[in-house]
Amino acid sequence: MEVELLTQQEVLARQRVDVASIFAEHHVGLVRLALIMVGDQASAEDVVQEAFARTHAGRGRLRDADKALAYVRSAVLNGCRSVLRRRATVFRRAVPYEPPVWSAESAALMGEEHREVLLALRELPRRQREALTLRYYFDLSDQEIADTMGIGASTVRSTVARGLAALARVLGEDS
Amino acid sequence: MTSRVEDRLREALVEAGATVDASALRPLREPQRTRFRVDFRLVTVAAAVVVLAGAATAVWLSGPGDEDRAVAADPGSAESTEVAVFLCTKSAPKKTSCQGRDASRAERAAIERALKELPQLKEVLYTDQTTAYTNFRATFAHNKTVLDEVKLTDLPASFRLRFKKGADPKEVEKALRGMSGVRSVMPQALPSAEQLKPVISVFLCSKGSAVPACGAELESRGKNDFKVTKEGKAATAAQIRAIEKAIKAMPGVQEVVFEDQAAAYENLRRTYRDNKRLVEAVKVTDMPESFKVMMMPEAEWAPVVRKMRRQPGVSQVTYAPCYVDKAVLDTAFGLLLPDDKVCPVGM
Repeated sequence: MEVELLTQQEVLARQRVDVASIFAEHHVGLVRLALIMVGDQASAEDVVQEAFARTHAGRGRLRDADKALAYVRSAVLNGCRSVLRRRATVFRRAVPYEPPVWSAESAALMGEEHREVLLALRELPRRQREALTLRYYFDLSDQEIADTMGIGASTVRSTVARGLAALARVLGEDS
Repeated sequence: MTSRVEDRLREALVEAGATVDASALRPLREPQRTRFRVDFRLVTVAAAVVVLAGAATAVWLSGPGDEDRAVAADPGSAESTEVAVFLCTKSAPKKTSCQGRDASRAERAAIERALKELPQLKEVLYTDQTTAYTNFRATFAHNKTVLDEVKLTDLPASFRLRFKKGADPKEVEKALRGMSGVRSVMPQALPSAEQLKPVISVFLCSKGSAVPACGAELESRGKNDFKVTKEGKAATAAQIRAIEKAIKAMPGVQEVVFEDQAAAYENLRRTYRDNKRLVEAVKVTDMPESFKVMMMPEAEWAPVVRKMRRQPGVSQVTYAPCYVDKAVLDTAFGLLLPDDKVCPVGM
């Protein structure tokens, strides 16, 4: 039997083809997800780049091809959490590159009404914010959200419901 | 039930997402550095080497003979799944088949062809010098002496062979050892956590020792062949007490345990379960007695080794992590460096 002679780089390249293609395919979507979480595009792109590099390093753990997208999304979400956490520290070394989309200084033009919604979303607890984004922006099912966030499907349902109720309260829509 | 909140949220998110200009995204960059893979799989061989240090004394005691060769001919008793074939470098020592030059392109191609014809192999990877050097820097980040000593051009390129189930790596190793351009063939194995513990072994002189430090006199009869003209003396009870006291007086020492011949033999037997020949060749009375000195983390070990070497009644002193480093350097990177280049003890 013929043995294929590969350089180490080639073998690694073969193993990582899956993750890499998912990133390539969903690059824009992932950046949008990160943008909604961290507020500015430059930080968002950094988060996605970092997650891309990290998932390469951990490619051994990526067995189930069906879960790959959920895995990649949760890597991006994790990255966003880190960014937000860093910004929250006393030293505030990690300031956003640009004013966030929900601020009035943002170069991106957004309607006042939408800005208000995003600001309210930002004030929600992290889990609610993430679940709402995955549900109402990416239209993921309970199970997909659960896989991405690493929580149970029923937790997703209650989290979404609570998040929505809180949002309605802040926006004065609860009737 | 679609509420107004849901609609507003949806629209806001879409608008926020739309601010991302897909055409202006920075492209994703592939990570440059790959993770070092061999890392923890290397420690068994190191273990073997550490025990060898002890066993060498034992073999030496009975006079350099067949046992010595039996040990040398059987490196690593554990079953290895990966074998590295290191190619020649200009800086390889004289006694290797390299004769002071790098493996030529033709030699490399010949080895590659030979590997392709081997039916036992599942996979062959090529590690070039740059990759080897990157891995080397990562593995020896803790050992500045080695980092300073080894240059990129010292590290040989290698083929890494993975075997099919049930294949016998030994045959393949034998076939490759003689090839021109091959510097060494090394089964890969991993050291155990036990080996990485900061333990200094202070071996005591035993009766009939052939170690000069124990008072033995040797007459050289050619390469690696000695005749013992006067046997050494065993450490006296007073010397042993003095050694123990001296160890306990050193800074950084956490714990001292005395290992007698029976315990030493038991350790050897456990480590070399799979190597019947070695276990049978060594008797309990061949084993050296020793003090095992557990050092505190980050403590200075070199002064202790230095001091103990000068102590009367001590035949040799070894520091386990040094042997691990030496073994890893040899098995994973194909470099055989003398002790003082891996962990210099100083004078």
